[in-house]
Amino acid sequence: MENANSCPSLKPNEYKSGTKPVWCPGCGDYSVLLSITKAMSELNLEPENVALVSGIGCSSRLPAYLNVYGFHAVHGRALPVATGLKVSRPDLTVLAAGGDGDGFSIGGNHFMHACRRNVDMTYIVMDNQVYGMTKGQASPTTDPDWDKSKLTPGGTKINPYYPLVIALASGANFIARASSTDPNGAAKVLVDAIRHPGFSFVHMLSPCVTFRPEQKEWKKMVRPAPVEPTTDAAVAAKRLMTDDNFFLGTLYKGNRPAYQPELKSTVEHLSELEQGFIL
Amino acid sequence: MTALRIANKPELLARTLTMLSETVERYDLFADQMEVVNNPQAAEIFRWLEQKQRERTQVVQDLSEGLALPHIPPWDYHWDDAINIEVPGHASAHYMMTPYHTLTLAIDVEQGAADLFDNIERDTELPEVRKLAHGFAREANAFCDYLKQKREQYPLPQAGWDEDEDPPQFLE
Repeated sequence: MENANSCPSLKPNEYKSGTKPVWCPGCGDYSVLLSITKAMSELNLEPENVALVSGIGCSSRLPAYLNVYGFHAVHGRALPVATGLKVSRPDLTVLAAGGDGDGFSIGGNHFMHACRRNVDMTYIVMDNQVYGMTKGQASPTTDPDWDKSKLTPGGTKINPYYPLVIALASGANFIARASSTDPNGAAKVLVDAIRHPGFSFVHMLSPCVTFRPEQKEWKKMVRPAPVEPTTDAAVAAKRLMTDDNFFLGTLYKGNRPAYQPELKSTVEHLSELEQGFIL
Repeated sequence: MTALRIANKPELLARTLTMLSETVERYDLFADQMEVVNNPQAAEIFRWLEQKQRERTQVVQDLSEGLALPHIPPWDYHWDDAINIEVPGHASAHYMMTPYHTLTLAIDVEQGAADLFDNIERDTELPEVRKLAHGFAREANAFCDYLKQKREQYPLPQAGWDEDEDPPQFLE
């Protein structure tokens, strides 16, 4: 038994807010919520020392269901908000979360630069390869031949986005994949991601049972990656370029120092801030 | 925790308590989900199952009174939706599931738990663990039989039970 924590002071369900999730029955996001609470419990995090920032979409409802600090940001903008929060409050454990559309399309540019900045936080993207909240359109990670949306008859015919490869190339310091079909295994990945300094990216497979019911088969397709985490970016690049999207576990652990600017405030009163905005 | 060697009685109690507590939470969640999607029959059965599991959890808590139970991290439990035994996986629920499906889900869970405790009883060399596992297996088997009887009240779902005449897909 590998203990993250000999005796958690809070049980996983004590990190839940009491607000009932409104995801569809069978949605993978329920399981991701459970994994996050288990990880926080194992790490013995005090709820008042954690902030979870999300974008827009089904999975971005997460902050409402947790009793940590939460910020339900603008579409695709979870990462800039989380970045600002972490550099100004480095004492907080900062998590960012959202879906594949929010993170890789609307927020795609922020994703790349958040990896590059390497601020110490963990970004969890619940990937279901579809825009679920707007009722089933192709997202950046959708296969090119998926033709169930009338917006893309015959499929998108566009190669999908490979988030792990982009994350590595952009400088993320920790790259892993987990699956909602294995909430306890996902909790372990999240514990490792949160502990690792710098920007940690967790690609979380989370099926949409309503608009992509065929993704129920993912539970038979996921499997542990038959490799140990590497610190060598070149090895990781080859690994990620040949990845079939279903290997689970930590795939890369870099050793770049996290970015944390020196904090120096010259403002003693809030009214001083207003001076800069007076016309 | 299939094919697991249990070190002592507190470990078996700790694992059983976690298993039961997660099952309670899952039935509670499923009941909520079914209420939201206006499936009152399934919701009622999940609520009943939640209550039953709460009662069983209390029994195991009473057995654990005065013992220091070890902390076991989540990744040392091998429960996942792919295996879907002992604790119902999140993906087990369907918004159109019938009472028959609901009870079948619970029967599978109880059968998984009974098999697990049978294996623990068979594999252990510790008398107190064997005795406890035997009792848990007997209880799970008895509840499983009861659920099977209860399921007979409901018709076998016909093919196409999950066909929705008003599907959520946007097809215009």
